[in-house]
Amino acid sequence: MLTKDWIDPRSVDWTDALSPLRNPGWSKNNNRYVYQALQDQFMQALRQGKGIEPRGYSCPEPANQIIAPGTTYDYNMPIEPNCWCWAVAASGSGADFLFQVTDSVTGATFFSQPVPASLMSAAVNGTAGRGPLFYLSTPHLFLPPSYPVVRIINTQSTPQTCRVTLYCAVEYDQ
Amino acid sequence: MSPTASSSTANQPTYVEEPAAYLFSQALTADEALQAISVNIDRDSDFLLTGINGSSTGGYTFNFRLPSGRLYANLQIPNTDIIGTANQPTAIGPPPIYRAGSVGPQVDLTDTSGASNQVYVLFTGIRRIRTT
Repeated sequence: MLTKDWIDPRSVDWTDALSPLRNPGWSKNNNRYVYQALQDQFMQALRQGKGIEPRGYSCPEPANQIIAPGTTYDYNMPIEPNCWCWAVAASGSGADFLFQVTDSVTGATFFSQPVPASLMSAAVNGTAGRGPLFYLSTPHLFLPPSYPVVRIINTQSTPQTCRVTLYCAVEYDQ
Repeated sequence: MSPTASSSTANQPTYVEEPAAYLFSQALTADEALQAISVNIDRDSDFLLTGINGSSTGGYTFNFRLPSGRLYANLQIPNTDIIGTANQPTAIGPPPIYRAGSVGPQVDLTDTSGASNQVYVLFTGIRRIRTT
Protein backbone atom coordinates (compact mmCIF):
# COMPACT_ATOMS: atom_id res chain seq x y z
CA MET A 1 0.00 0.00 0.00
CA LEU A 2 2.84 2.38 0.73
CA THR A 3 3.93 2.25 -2.87
CA LYS A 4 0.64 3.75 -4.08
CA ASP A 5 0.19 7.42 -4.71
CA TRP A 6 -1.81 9.32 -2.12
CA ILE A 7 -5.14 10.61 -3.42
CA ASP A 8 -6.69 13.36 -1.34
CA PRO A 9 -10.30 12.20 -0.72
CA ARG A 10 -11.45 15.81 -1.03
CA SER A 11 -10.33 15.81 -4.64
CA VAL A 12 -12.57 12.87 -5.56
CA ASP A 13 -16.07 13.55 -6.85
CA TRP A 14 -17.90 10.92 -4.84
CA THR A 15 -21.16 11.73 -6.61
CA ASP A 16 -19.70 10.35 -9.83
CA ALA A 17 -20.70 6.70 -9.76
CA LEU A 18 -18.32 5.83 -12.54
CA SER A 19 -15.24 7.62 -11.32
CA PRO A 20 -12.41 5.09 -11.18
CA LEU A 21 -11.10 6.85 -8.07
CA ARG A 22 -14.16 6.09 -5.96
CA ASN A 23 -13.78 2.33 -6.11
CA PRO A 24 -10.56 0.61 -5.02
CA GLY A 25 -11.20 -2.21 -7.45
CA TRP A 26 -10.98 0.21 -10.36
CA SER A 27 -7.67 1.72 -9.37
CA LYS A 28 -4.85 1.94 -11.86
CA ASN A 29 -2.90 -0.70 -10.01
CA ASN A 30 -5.81 -3.05 -9.35
CA ASN A 31 -7.62 -2.99 -12.68
CA ARG A 32 -5.92 -0.88 -15.30
CA TYR A 33 -8.39 -1.87 -18.00
CA VAL A 34 -11.45 -0.58 -16.15
CA TYR A 35 -9.49 2.44 -14.94
CA GLN A 36 -8.71 3.44 -18.50
CA ALA A 37 -12.18 2.59 -19.80
CA LEU A 38 -13.77 4.92 -17.25
CA GLN A 39 -11.26 7.66 -18.04
CA ASP A 40 -12.06 7.54 -21.75
CA GLN A 41 -13.10 11.01 -22.91
CA PHE A 42 -16.53 9.92 -24.12
CA MET A 43 -17.09 8.05 -20.89
CA GLN A 44 -16.10 11.16 -18.93
CA ALA A 45 -18.60 13.22 -20.89
CA LEU A 46 -21.33 10.69 -20.11
CA ARG A 47 -20.38 10.59 -16.44
CA GLN A 48 -20.69 14.33 -16.08
CA GLY A 49 -23.38 15.18 -18.63
CA LYS A 50 -26.77 16.57 -17.78
CA GLY A 51 -29.99 15.13 -19.11
CA ILE A 52 -28.53 11.64 -19.20
CA GLU A 53 -30.18 8.70 -17.50
CA PRO A 54 -28.85 5.21 -16.82
CA ARG A 55 -30.59 2.35 -18.51
CA GLY A 56 -30.24 -1.42 -18.77
CA TYR A 57 -31.36 -3.49 -21.72
CA SER A 58 -31.65 -7.22 -21.35
CA CYS A 59 -32.48 -9.95 -23.84
CA PRO A 60 -33.98 -12.24 -24.88
CA GLU A 61 -37.48 -11.39 -23.84
CA PRO A 62 -38.91 -13.22 -21.95
CA ALA A 63 -35.78 -13.78 -19.89
CA ASN A 64 -36.44 -17.49 -19.43
CA GLN A 65 -36.72 -18.17 -23.17
CA ILE A 66 -35.10 -21.47 -24.07
CA ILE A 67 -32.49 -21.40 -26.85
CA ALA A 68 -32.41 -24.70 -28.71
CA PRO A 69 -29.08 -26.55 -28.93
CA GLY A 70 -26.84 -25.49 -31.79
CA THR A 71 -29.06 -22.61 -32.85
CA THR A 72 -28.28 -18.97 -33.49
CA TYR A 73 -30.70 -16.44 -32.06
CA ASP A 74 -30.72 -12.78 -33.12
CA TYR A 75 -32.52 -10.24 -31.00
CA ASN A 76 -33.17 -6.67 -32.13
CA MET A 77 -32.89 -4.69 -28.92
CA PRO A 78 -35.65 -2.05 -28.68
CA ILE A 79 -33.56 0.80 -27.29
CA GLU A 80 -34.33 4.48 -26.91
CA PRO A 81 -32.73 7.01 -29.28
CA ASN A 82 -29.18 8.21 -28.65
CA CYS A 83 -28.21 5.30 -26.49
CA TRP A 84 -24.63 4.93 -25.28
CA CYS A 85 -23.64 1.40 -24.28
CA TRP A 86 -20.74 1.29 -21.84
CA ALA A 87 -20.79 -2.22 -20.37
CA VAL A 88 -22.16 -5.70 -20.96
CA ALA A 89 -22.96 -8.71 -18.81
CA ALA A 90 -23.96 -12.26 -19.69
CA SER A 91 -25.34 -15.22 -17.83
CA GLY A 92 -27.38 -18.33 -18.45
CA SER A 93 -28.67 -21.51 -16.98
CA GLY A 94 -25.21 -22.89 -16.50
CA ALA A 95 -23.40 -23.97 -19.62
CA ASP A 96 -21.42 -21.61 -21.80
CA PHE A 97 -22.66 -19.91 -24.97
CA LEU A 98 -21.40 -17.38 -27.48
CA PHE A 99 -22.70 -13.88 -28.04
CA GLN A 100 -22.02 -10.84 -30.17
CA VAL A 101 -23.43 -7.30 -30.30
CA THR A 102 -23.71 -5.56 -33.68
CA ASP A 103 -24.73 -2.01 -34.63
CA SER A 104 -27.66 -2.48 -37.00
CA VAL A 105 -26.68 0.46 -39.23
CA THR A 106 -22.90 0.60 -39.25
CA GLY A 107 -22.35 -3.11 -38.82
CA ALA A 108 -19.78 -2.43 -36.12
CA THR A 109 -19.38 -5.30 -33.72
CA PHE A 110 -18.30 -5.16 -30.09
CA PHE A 111 -16.04 -8.16 -30.55
CA SER A 112 -14.08 -9.48 -33.54
CA GLN A 113 -16.04 -12.72 -33.29
CA PRO A 114 -18.70 -14.04 -30.92
CA VAL A 115 -17.23 -14.35 -27.44
CA PRO A 116 -17.92 -17.01 -24.80
CA ALA A 117 -20.25 -15.75 -22.09
CA SER A 118 -17.92 -17.34 -19.57
CA LEU A 119 -15.33 -14.71 -20.51
CA MET A 120 -17.75 -11.93 -19.65
CA SER A 121 -19.49 -13.31 -16.61
CA ALA A 122 -18.84 -12.31 -13.04
CA ALA A 123 -17.13 -15.50 -12.08
CA VAL A 124 -14.28 -15.24 -14.54
CA ASN A 125 -13.74 -11.67 -15.73
CA GLY A 126 -11.02 -11.18 -13.18
CA THR A 127 -12.27 -12.53 -9.92
CA ALA A 128 -15.71 -13.29 -8.62
CA GLY A 129 -15.49 -10.30 -6.33
CA ARG A 130 -15.20 -7.81 -9.14
CA GLY A 131 -18.83 -7.53 -10.07
CA PRO A 132 -20.81 -8.67 -13.09
CA LEU A 133 -20.01 -5.95 -15.63
CA PHE A 134 -17.54 -6.03 -18.50
CA TYR A 135 -16.64 -2.43 -19.36
CA LEU A 136 -16.15 -1.42 -22.97
CA SER A 137 -12.95 0.50 -23.60
CA THR A 138 -15.07 3.35 -24.97
CA PRO A 139 -18.87 3.65 -25.00
CA HIS A 140 -20.65 2.83 -28.24
CA LEU A 141 -23.30 5.25 -29.47
CA PHE A 142 -26.34 3.84 -31.25
CA LEU A 143 -27.49 6.80 -33.30
CA PRO A 144 -31.08 6.65 -34.56
CA PRO A 145 -32.23 4.65 -36.42
CA SER A 146 -29.55 2.28 -35.23
CA TYR A 147 -30.12 -0.32 -32.56
CA PRO A 148 -28.10 -3.22 -31.16
CA VAL A 149 -28.53 -6.68 -32.58
CA VAL A 150 -27.58 -9.26 -29.99
CA ARG A 151 -26.62 -12.62 -31.44
CA ILE A 152 -26.70 -15.58 -29.07
CA ILE A 153 -25.33 -18.94 -30.14
CA ASN A 154 -26.08 -21.95 -28.00
CA THR A 155 -23.06 -24.15 -28.61
CA GLN A 156 -24.23 -26.84 -26.23
CA SER A 157 -26.01 -30.03 -27.12
CA THR A 158 -28.81 -29.24 -24.70
CA PRO A 159 -31.36 -26.41 -24.61
CA GLN A 160 -30.64 -23.61 -22.17
CA THR A 161 -31.42 -20.03 -21.27
CA CYS A 162 -28.85 -17.46 -22.34
CA ARG A 163 -29.10 -13.82 -21.38
CA VAL A 164 -27.17 -10.73 -22.38
CA THR A 165 -27.58 -7.35 -20.68
CA LEU A 166 -26.34 -4.05 -22.05
CA TYR A 167 -25.63 -1.22 -19.60
CA CYS A 168 -26.30 2.10 -21.24
CA ALA A 169 -27.00 5.78 -20.81
CA VAL A 170 -29.70 7.56 -22.78
CA GLU A 171 -30.05 11.24 -23.54
CA TYR A 172 -33.06 13.24 -22.44
CA ASP A 173 -33.91 16.91 -22.73
CA GLN A 174 -34.17 18.58 -19.35
CA MET B 1 -18.24 13.88 5.42
CA SER B 2 -17.37 16.48 2.83
CA PRO B 3 -18.27 20.04 3.81
CA THR B 4 -20.26 22.11 1.30
CA ALA B 5 -19.62 19.84 -1.62
CA SER B 6 -21.66 21.95 -3.98
CA SER B 7 -21.07 25.53 -5.03
CA SER B 8 -21.02 28.06 -2.22
CA THR B 9 -21.97 30.96 -4.50
CA ALA B 10 -24.53 33.34 -3.03
CA ASN B 11 -28.15 32.33 -3.65
CA GLN B 12 -27.05 28.78 -4.34
CA PRO B 13 -28.17 26.09 -1.92
CA THR B 14 -25.40 24.42 -0.02
CA TYR B 15 -25.27 20.78 0.89
CA VAL B 16 -23.47 18.41 3.13
CA GLU B 17 -22.82 15.03 1.65
CA GLU B 18 -22.51 11.81 3.57
CA PRO B 19 -22.30 8.16 2.58
CA ALA B 20 -25.65 6.41 2.61
CA ALA B 21 -26.99 2.92 2.05
CA TYR B 22 -30.61 1.82 1.87
CA LEU B 23 -31.18 -1.86 2.52
CA PHE B 24 -33.94 -3.68 0.71
CA SER B 25 -34.89 -7.00 2.25
CA GLN B 26 -37.54 -9.35 0.95
CA ALA B 27 -38.38 -12.99 1.55
CA LEU B 28 -39.74 -14.52 -1.63
CA THR B 29 -41.68 -17.71 -1.90
CA ALA B 30 -41.06 -20.06 -4.82
CA ASP B 31 -41.62 -18.28 -8.16
CA GLU B 32 -43.14 -15.29 -6.41
CA ALA B 33 -43.28 -12.03 -8.36
CA LEU B 34 -43.57 -8.67 -6.62
CA GLN B 35 -43.81 -5.24 -8.14
CA ALA B 36 -43.13 -1.62 -7.17
CA ILE B 37 -41.95 -2.20 -3.63
CA SER B 38 -40.88 1.11 -2.18
CA VAL B 39 -37.47 1.76 -0.70
CA ASN B 40 -38.42 4.91 1.10
CA ILE B 41 -35.96 7.77 1.11
CA ASP B 42 -35.41 9.70 4.33
CA ARG B 43 -37.18 13.03 4.53
CA ASP B 44 -34.12 14.99 5.54
CA SER B 45 -31.96 14.37 2.50
CA ASP B 46 -31.87 13.53 -1.17
CA PHE B 47 -30.28 10.24 -2.14
CA LEU B 48 -27.91 9.91 -5.02
CA LEU B 49 -27.77 6.26 -6.09
CA THR B 50 -24.34 5.20 -7.29
CA GLY B 51 -24.21 1.44 -6.81
CA ILE B 52 -26.02 -1.79 -6.10
CA ASN B 53 -24.85 -4.90 -4.36
CA GLY B 54 -26.55 -7.69 -2.51
CA SER B 55 -26.92 -11.31 -1.64
CA SER B 56 -29.63 -13.94 -1.79
CA THR B 57 -30.23 -17.59 -1.10
CA GLY B 58 -31.32 -18.24 -4.69
CA GLY B 59 -31.66 -16.76 -8.15
CA TYR B 60 -34.06 -13.99 -9.00
CA THR B 61 -34.65 -11.26 -11.54
CA PHE B 62 -34.64 -7.60 -10.64
CA ASN B 63 -35.62 -4.17 -11.91
CA PHE B 64 -36.23 -0.78 -10.32
CA ARG B 65 -37.63 2.65 -11.10
CA LEU B 66 -35.62 5.78 -11.69
CA PRO B 67 -36.64 9.13 -10.16
CA SER B 68 -38.21 10.04 -13.51
CA GLY B 69 -40.64 7.16 -13.06
CA ARG B 70 -39.12 5.15 -15.86
CA LEU B 71 -37.94 1.64 -15.28
CA TYR B 72 -34.18 1.14 -15.28
CA ALA B 73 -34.30 -1.86 -17.61
CA ASN B 74 -36.61 -2.99 -20.37
CA LEU B 75 -37.23 -6.22 -18.46
CA GLN B 76 -36.12 -7.72 -15.19
CA ILE B 77 -32.41 -8.49 -15.18
CA PRO B 78 -31.06 -11.71 -13.64
CA ASN B 79 -29.40 -11.03 -10.30
CA THR B 80 -26.17 -12.52 -11.61
CA ASP B 81 -25.98 -9.75 -14.21
CA ILE B 82 -26.75 -6.71 -12.09
CA ILE B 83 -26.18 -7.34 -8.40
CA GLY B 84 -22.60 -6.49 -7.53
CA THR B 85 -20.54 -7.41 -4.54
CA ALA B 86 -19.75 -5.46 -1.41
CA ASN B 87 -16.26 -4.99 -2.76
CA GLN B 88 -17.49 -3.89 -6.17
CA PRO B 89 -21.07 -2.67 -6.29
CA THR B 90 -22.49 -2.44 -9.80
CA ALA B 91 -22.21 1.21 -10.82
CA ILE B 92 -25.44 2.97 -11.65
CA GLY B 93 -24.30 5.84 -13.75
CA PRO B 94 -24.91 8.62 -14.37
CA PRO B 95 -26.29 8.48 -10.83
CA PRO B 96 -29.99 9.25 -10.43
CA ILE B 97 -31.10 11.52 -7.56
CA TYR B 98 -34.10 10.41 -5.50
CA ARG B 99 -35.72 13.31 -3.72
CA ALA B 100 -36.10 13.40 0.06
CA GLY B 101 -39.26 11.67 1.22
CA SER B 102 -39.85 9.93 -2.10
CA VAL B 103 -40.67 6.28 -2.60
CA GLY B 104 -37.15 5.71 -3.88
CA PRO B 105 -36.12 2.98 -6.29
CA GLN B 106 -39.32 0.98 -6.39
CA VAL B 107 -38.27 -2.60 -6.86
CA ASP B 108 -39.72 -5.32 -9.09
CA LEU B 109 -38.39 -8.80 -8.47
CA THR B 110 -39.25 -12.38 -9.31
CA ASP B 111 -37.90 -15.54 -7.77
CA THR B 112 -36.34 -17.92 -10.29
CA SER B 113 -34.99 -20.44 -7.81
CA GLY B 114 -38.24 -22.30 -7.37
CA ALA B 115 -37.79 -22.27 -3.62
CA SER B 116 -38.03 -19.82 -0.78
CA ASN B 117 -35.51 -17.08 -1.33
CA GLN B 118 -34.21 -14.41 1.02
CA VAL B 119 -33.10 -11.42 -1.01
CA TYR B 120 -31.00 -8.52 0.23
CA VAL B 121 -30.18 -5.61 -2.02
CA LEU B 122 -28.14 -2.67 -0.83
CA PHE B 123 -28.60 0.61 -2.65
CA THR B 124 -25.44 2.56 -1.95
CA GLY B 125 -24.74 6.17 -2.67
CA ILE B 126 -24.62 9.59 -1.18
CA ARG B 127 -27.00 11.38 1.12
CA ARG B 128 -27.23 15.05 0.28
CA ILE B 129 -28.48 17.23 3.14
CA ARG B 130 -29.37 20.80 2.31
CA THR B 131 -27.90 23.19 4.84
CA THR B 132 -29.06 26.57 3.51
